[in-house]
Amino acid sequence: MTGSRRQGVQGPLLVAEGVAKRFGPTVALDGLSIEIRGGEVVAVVGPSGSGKSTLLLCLAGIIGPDEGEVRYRGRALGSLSDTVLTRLRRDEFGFVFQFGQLVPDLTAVENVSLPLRLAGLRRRDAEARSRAWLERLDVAAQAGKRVGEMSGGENQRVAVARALATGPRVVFADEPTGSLDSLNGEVVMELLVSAARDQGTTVVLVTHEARVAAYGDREVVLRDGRVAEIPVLR
Amino acid sequence: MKALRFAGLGIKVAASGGRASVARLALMAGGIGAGVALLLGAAAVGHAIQARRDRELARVANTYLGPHQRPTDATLEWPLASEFEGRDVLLIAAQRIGRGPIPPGLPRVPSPGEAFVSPALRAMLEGRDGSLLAARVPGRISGPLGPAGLLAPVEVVGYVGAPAWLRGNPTDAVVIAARPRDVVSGQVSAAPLVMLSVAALAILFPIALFVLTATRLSAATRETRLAAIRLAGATGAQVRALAAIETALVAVLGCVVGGTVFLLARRGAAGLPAVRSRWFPSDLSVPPLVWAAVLVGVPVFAFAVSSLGMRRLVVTPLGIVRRARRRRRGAHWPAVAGLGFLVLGIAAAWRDHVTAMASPLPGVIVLGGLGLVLVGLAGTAPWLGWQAGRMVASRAPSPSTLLGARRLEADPTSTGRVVMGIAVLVVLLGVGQAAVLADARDSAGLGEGYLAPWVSHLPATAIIASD
Repeated sequence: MTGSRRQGVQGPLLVAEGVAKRFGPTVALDGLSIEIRGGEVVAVVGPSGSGKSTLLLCLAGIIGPDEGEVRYRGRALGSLSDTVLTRLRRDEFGFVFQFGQLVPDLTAVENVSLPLRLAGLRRRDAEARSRAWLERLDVAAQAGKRVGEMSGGENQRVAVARALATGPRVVFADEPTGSLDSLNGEVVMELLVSAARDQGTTVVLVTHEARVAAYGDREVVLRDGRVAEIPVLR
Repeated sequence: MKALRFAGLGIKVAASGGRASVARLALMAGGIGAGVALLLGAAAVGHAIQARRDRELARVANTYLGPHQRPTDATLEWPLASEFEGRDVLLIAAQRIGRGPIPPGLPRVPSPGEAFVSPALRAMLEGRDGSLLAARVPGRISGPLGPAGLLAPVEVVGYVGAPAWLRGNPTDAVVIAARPRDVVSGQVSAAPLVMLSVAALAILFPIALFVLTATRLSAATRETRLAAIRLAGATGAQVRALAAIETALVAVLGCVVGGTVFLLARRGAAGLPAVRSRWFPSDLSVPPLVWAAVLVGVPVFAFAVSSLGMRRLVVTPLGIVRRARRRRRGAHWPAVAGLGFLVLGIAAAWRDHVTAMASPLPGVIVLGGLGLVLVGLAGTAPWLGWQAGRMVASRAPSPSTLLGARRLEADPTSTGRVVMGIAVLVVLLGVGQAAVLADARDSAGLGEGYLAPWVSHLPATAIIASD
């Protein structure tokens, strides 16, 4: 789970091929294809309703596409059982959403330890690792506080800590700064991207803000469920 | 070990909630606690009735001798009922033959000139006009008649050694050949058991509704939490298990609360004059098996119900999806309830025939009828609500009425639940009252059976004179 282990990943880590997804009459994704390499930070941008969040959920295996295929390290997510997908989400993926990803009844340190404990780690070990991450993200003082007792920025930092604590290969971030003011947004993005780069974690970042997208190595622009521009490497 | 860690996580998740969550858990624990306390109370009352009945039956386990029969290894008893200062006084002259059984509450069968009396009789004998009563109780008092020989703590009763003139008339005696309870097993009325079952249903049904309603509080927070845990990497089964652990934990808390409330209430009740005069403190105890059944059964039941309830929920990382089936609201539910009432009506009309049936049948008929009534009412209330909602909505004079009616039509179960709870409670209380009256009638008949031969053989004011 170290950065060096990820350095060698060169081929595509995540591949979406001809992915289509409809919600009733609404077409969210329309035969979209995309490749994401290990260790890169990809910003998916586009106007509201362009299918950004749907793409992220498909890439993470939370929802399945109606057509096409999503492959993670060569394995089609659609062919995996719910248990395997769950294990994948727990051990190899991390999530940072705009809000709602933290368990409101647990403290910050308990939230960060949750995926570790679900993976079978002892409470003491899980909490020790979690505290180290909280410290790294400068919210160690909030370790004993619950969601409602922290500011939006602090909550997001805890969410970032939780997303990274398991040493995931990919972090999926959907509007991670959407509920924050610009200053806090900058801090959270800085912490998320630098921590991810440190351990070679791939970041799929969905946003509609240009300044947030600027943290990515490249941008993928979506419009009406399709990739509107050829990704440009920065 | 991993399972234990997971259970610990479940307890942690359940125990650490916000205010709404804590309020929900407290309400649920309180509801379950009330149910447990009342259930234990019902069990204690049932035990008290049974204990008193056992003592009564142990006293009257008797046979009568034919004209030329001679008793061997038996205790002969000549009971005599009389009255003193407005209180019933029962004196029993006794004679042991061979290895005849010793009456309950006595160290031995009194010899002629010897007496064992209840505390109440002793108090009367030592009272202001005790000398008048003493003429009826010959001999010296050798000791007390213990609780096992008393129907109630205030019963005025005593055993005296049979005088010679009675010993010559064994055919007039009640012959006690054996005292063990197996002599009377099978003679116990089904009424207390039916009463207990009805009481348990009457108590548990509204409380189950209350707990169900309480679980709806802060449901949104709970769903958010479960989805968040799923996102963190818990499998669907793990999330369902976490929710079930929470329910079981609440049930355990409820059991602790209920058990404590019951013990305190029992202590308080035991001090009340009305209770103290009628029951011994030990009568109001709950058998260990019942304790174990309640304290283990309630959390297990809660865990099972929660697990089953969660089967319809699909917890995804994004939220909860309900596997809803379109419910057909048929008019057959009132018919089911009607059938139940019919069964109960027939059982009441032909009560003597029903109670004369072999042991499990009366219970099956009564509880079966009750079950049909409960299920029928449970289905009827939402059906009525749905019909009412549809009817009102089609003629709604104002938007607010329309909204209310449509809401009722869409979800008649929540409203129906309250109506159903009240209706079911009324039915159960009615049946319970009938069972109590039946039990009282049975108890009265039992006493009469014991004294009947003596009422016909001796004058009520007769005195058992010593030799």
